[in-house]
Amino acid sequence: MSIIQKRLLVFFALASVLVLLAYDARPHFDKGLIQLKRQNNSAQRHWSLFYDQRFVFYEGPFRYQDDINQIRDLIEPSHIVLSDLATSYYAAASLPVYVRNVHRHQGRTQSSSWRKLLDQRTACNLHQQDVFSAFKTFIDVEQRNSVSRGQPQFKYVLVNKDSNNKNLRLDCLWHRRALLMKNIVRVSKLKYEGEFLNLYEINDRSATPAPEG
Amino acid sequence: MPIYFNAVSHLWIGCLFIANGLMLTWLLRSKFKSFRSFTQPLEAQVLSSFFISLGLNGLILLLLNWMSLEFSLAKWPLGLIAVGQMALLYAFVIRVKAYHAFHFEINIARAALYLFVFVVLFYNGGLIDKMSDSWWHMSLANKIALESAFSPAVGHLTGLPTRYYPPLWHGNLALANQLSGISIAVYWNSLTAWVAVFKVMAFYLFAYGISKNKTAALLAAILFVLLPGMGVAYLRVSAWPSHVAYTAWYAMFYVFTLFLDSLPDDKASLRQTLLPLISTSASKLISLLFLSIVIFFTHKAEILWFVVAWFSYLIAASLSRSLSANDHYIVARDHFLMIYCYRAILTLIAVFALWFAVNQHYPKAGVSDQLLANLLPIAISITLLLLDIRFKSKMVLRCIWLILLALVLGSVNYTHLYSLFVPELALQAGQFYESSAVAIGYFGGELQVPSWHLQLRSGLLYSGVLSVIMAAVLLIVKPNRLSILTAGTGCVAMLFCASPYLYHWFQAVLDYHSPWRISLMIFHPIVWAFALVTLNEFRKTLANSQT
Repeated sequence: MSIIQKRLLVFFALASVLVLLAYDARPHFDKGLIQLKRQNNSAQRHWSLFYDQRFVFYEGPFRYQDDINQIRDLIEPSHIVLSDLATSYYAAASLPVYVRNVHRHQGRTQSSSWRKLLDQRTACNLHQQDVFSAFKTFIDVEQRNSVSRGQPQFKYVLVNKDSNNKNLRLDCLWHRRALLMKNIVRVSKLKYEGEFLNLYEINDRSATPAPEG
Repeated sequence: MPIYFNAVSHLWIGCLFIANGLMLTWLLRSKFKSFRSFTQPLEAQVLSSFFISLGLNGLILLLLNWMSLEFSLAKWPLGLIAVGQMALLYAFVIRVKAYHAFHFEINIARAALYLFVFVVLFYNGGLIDKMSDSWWHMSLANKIALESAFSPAVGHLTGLPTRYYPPLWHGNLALANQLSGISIAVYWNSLTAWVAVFKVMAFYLFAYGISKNKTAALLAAILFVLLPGMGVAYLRVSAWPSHVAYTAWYAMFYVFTLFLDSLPDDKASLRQTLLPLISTSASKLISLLFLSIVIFFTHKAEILWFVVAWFSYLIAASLSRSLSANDHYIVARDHFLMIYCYRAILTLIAVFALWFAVNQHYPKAGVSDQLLANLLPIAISITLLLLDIRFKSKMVLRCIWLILLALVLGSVNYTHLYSLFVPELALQAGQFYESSAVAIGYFGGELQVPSWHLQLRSGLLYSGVLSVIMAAVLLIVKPNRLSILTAGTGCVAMLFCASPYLYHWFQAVLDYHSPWRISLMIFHPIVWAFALVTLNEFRKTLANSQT
């Protein structure tokens, strides 16, 4: 092989490697990809020149900090809070409470009664009388069982009223928050009303006797 | 929107996760020459500061936990340590003008790269907009903070029993939250920029340690930032405990390669080699032990990947030795200490695999794919052992090579491998998104294989998967420590992902939900950086020969 052929070969190899690397590196510089990922509920894990903190700021719990600080002072620790999926995680990460509305692989399936409640979207349809009755029975049973077993008690409902956080839209508890707020007061009292978050304390029904049979 | 809403948290991060560690690093550098030599690059000093701070904070929290005291009280011991270290620095460094403790090595290109990564990640933020597992970790950190205990009384998220998770990183987050009053979510967002830079720094050190070439190492660090890759390349999730562990993992590679550099060039005896090696490398061995402890209490799995990576190195070294046409001695490949270690590990694996197979199948009768999966590692280990013994007869050697190739290539599911490139052909996935796919074996049995759809397809196509071929080529063209390690790790990782028999066995042995993370061992940025440097050398040589 002549020197020129060798040089051409090396040049071709170098150029090929550079083209391959440039091709693979392009997602960081692709503005359209961000929107595409957002439309498909795909997480933005790679850095991007066009991603900015607006997404993080408006689609995270940062704006709720004042409400969270207020609620922390009002809430009794180690109880269970029912909220939409995203707010449940925000609450677990910032308040002394437990949540059950979580992803399947993080314990949603561990309690069959809660899984049933969440999968059947009972709390989203409290305006229907039969559903509301079932919800009330659920509270009675849960509170009674948790007291007898010494487990965390279902005591609070947290409603997120924010309309800018896209993550909240994953759950009917947010979509039907107006109906929820209207009906939940039938079994609870409004403990805190903030700019973004409302906290309801469920009436203590643990002393309610279990229905016979 | 206030883009500096998390600015104050960055000051706290500097105080809690750097300051004490940096002062201790300087003190150690002033006293120990060997520690000073391998922490000369700025990257090494920054990483040392970070990991020492994490360890120190963890230790104080452990003591508070043990004494049932509030974690917020950590400010007193931490403050005392800081003041004490300042006094010691004055006494042993400033007063005696031992300023070499403060010296470091950096160049503009590397500094610019780290600054770029920090600014972009500061601006991008680190809180994943879609709901993700990060909240599970933040919930754990929150409960650790609230209960001032490393192991919260009940499951931190749901209040129901949950699995144990190594708490060092969560404990540090809890500490920051308790001392500053800033929410854990803010720290999670801010720390992403810091740990992303630490990760790139650690990768630079790893590449430099193994190549001894600053240009290649810088290129590798740049490609690490640019190229997609398995999980580890996701810079926006750098605040996860796994990524803190990846950073320590890369640092371990750096320290270990420096330790291997101490191997004598000649064929000295075992005694002449071992004793001086241990006595001159005490600080490196202690650093390795310390990093292992950090990983163990942060994410654990990377200790396994470290061991598997160096075992893959030994396999590649042995195969390269077996294929070499001449008797040219290469320290990184042919040192007798590595040959001894390799044979010992292979024997151990064969014995363990045999024990595992007997345990799984006795007294069941009949041949099944599961039995084949359990027997394959034994057969491969024995074949590799035989190959390492240099038979004089070329015919025998060829036969063993043929057996090895038949075992390895016969275990691969080619439809599964092909479906990496053509998603429509993917094997049936498990019940859940995260589950393994199911491959049918020779006897109709079901075997697990990793679903490419997880992080693998996006991480491997195309530079990742092509780098495995390139690494093998580089191993033939330039057998040295870098090419042996990258070829060994790349081929082993790809093999385990493509072979249902090996993957099934691996998953059963580890009892781990994500053994596909073995693909982290495909170090494609280093392969491509080394390839570019090598091609450039060829180009220069050709240009010179013409003139």
